Amino acid sequence: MCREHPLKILKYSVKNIWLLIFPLIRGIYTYHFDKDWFYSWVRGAWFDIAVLGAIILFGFVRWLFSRIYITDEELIHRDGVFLHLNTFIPIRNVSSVTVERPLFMVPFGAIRFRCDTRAGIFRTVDLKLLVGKKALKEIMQHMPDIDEEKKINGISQPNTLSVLLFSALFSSGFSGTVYLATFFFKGGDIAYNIIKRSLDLLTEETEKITDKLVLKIPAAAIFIGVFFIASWFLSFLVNFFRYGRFNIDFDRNCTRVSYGIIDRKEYRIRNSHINYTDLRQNLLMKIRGAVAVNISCAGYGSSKNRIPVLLPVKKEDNIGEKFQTIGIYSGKKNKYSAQPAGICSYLLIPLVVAAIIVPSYDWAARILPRLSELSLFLAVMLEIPVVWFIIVKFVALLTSGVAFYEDKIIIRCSKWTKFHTVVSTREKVVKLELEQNLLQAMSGRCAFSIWFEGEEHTRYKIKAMRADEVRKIAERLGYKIGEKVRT
Amino acid sequence: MKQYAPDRRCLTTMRLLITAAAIIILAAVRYFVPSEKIVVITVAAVISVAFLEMFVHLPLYFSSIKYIATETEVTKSSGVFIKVHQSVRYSSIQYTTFISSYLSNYTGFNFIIFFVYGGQLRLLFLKKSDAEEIVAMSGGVSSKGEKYVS
Repeated sequence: MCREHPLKILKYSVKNIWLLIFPLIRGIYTYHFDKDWFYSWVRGAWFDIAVLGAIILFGFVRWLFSRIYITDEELIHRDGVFLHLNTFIPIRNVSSVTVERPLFMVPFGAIRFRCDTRAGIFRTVDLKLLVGKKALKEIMQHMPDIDEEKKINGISQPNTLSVLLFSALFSSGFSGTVYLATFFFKGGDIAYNIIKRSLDLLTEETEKITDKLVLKIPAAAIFIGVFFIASWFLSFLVNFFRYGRFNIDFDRNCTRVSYGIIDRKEYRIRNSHINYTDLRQNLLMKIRGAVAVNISCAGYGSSKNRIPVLLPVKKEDNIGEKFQTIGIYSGKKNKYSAQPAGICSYLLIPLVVAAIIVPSYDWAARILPRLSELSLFLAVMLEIPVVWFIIVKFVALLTSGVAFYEDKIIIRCSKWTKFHTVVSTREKVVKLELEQNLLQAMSGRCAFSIWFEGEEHTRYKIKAMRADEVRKIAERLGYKIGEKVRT
Repeated sequence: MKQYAPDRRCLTTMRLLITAAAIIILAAVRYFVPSEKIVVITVAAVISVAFLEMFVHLPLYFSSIKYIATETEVTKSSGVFIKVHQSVRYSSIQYTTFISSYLSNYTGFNFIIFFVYGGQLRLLFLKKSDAEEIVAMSGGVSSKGEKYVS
């Protein structure tokens, strides 16, 4: 039997912090109704101390009743004073464990431990404990771990450049931030010129008054631009410190990941409980042949603001076959691809939006001639992401599809501006969907969606697939869909 | 296959708790609310709700609860106005939480929560012996772990 770390008393005490309302009421009472309120308050300080004592006592009693038992088969946590909550987690069902050593807890020797199974929805944590080193050692002996003799050696570890690139590309949308900053810098400048020119037409008297106001416009624009750049940079720094010193090791059954420059986090993941791996790319990464690998596994990367990254940015060619052990496959060609004839389902909406933006500048210039320069700038700035989006969707049309490899299914698709290559075993497919509208029925095409096991049910959709090929895919997965669909 | 019903002693416990809660609410209303009219309306409302809950809804709810445990799965049926039937295979149970209290032998406050893929199944107000039997049947707790089910 082990107990949680005594630091947990504070956390349990915080739950009774509402009791401080009584000292607060007393403080207000003495302040309002007594001239010598400070003296009265000090005289009654014993009451405040008693309340604080009661809060800490409650916390202590809760801590005393929180006990951890570990057997070869399960982890047991007993909690509660009046109501006893006994949680039994069979070790065979543990999907991942997380060990976190926050810097501020290091002097106390306290360590956060989290244990997750495939139960539940929406990234819920099944068991959270705050333990000391001795208790952690005892628990971790029973948790899934790498067999050092069977460990796969020679894995190329992510280097600092890889983490830097990952932090830059996945920090609040790098390209989006640069774009927004440019928008405000340049847009503010143009707006300033227009308004200043308009005001120059007015009398000297009004110019004196308004000049001061005008100066504020570009300043606000610059401030917003700088704000975006600064927030991105902050996010970049946080991500770099969070994912720095990235290390990954695995054998056939378990993967061990650790990262963090200051606050180290260690994960142990049961490989058979990985729902799928997701090789993510944006357009730049696609051109350069680089990928960032994420996984879906209960408990991994489920904390707030964490990304379930298994490999930060890495060249797809350099991943190697060793990573196939944990379900990372690359370079497998599509067996069933999106049809180029279905180009409209990818490009119709972005092309329409791009086409509307051009004349809308002209309409705006006619209605407000003085703002024609600004409206031209706005039109150009809006056109850029739309053209970018058209290129992304065109690349998606050429690359989307489905492949099968041994017992794996590989889905290539795109979501907004990101490309996904999702790899999973066929048994982990939980739902398929075939969508066909009237026009698609005439050409025998359809949209194909697939869902995998996991706490969050994410949809992966491929447009412009041939309906007869989707039926074949479904058959290979053991489903029967689209029997009445036109092919 | 074995059928289980909730512990009827829990109904008495619930009635006692509702009575205590109603008395506390009425005392607070009497003490804090100056208007006699509002006090009378609140007293009437609280007593009516408590009465309906204790002697109409709760007995109906308790008689509607039924648990059936087979070798492979456990099924829960409940609901007064809308009947709900939930079934869970033991093989899909990821972990189990067993909730009890000091006097649960007498109060019937024994609950089991089975955490499964995508959700949970709550078996409420069980007799202690029944709860232990269901936990043992589910296989979610090992023979070593069973000694902690108390």
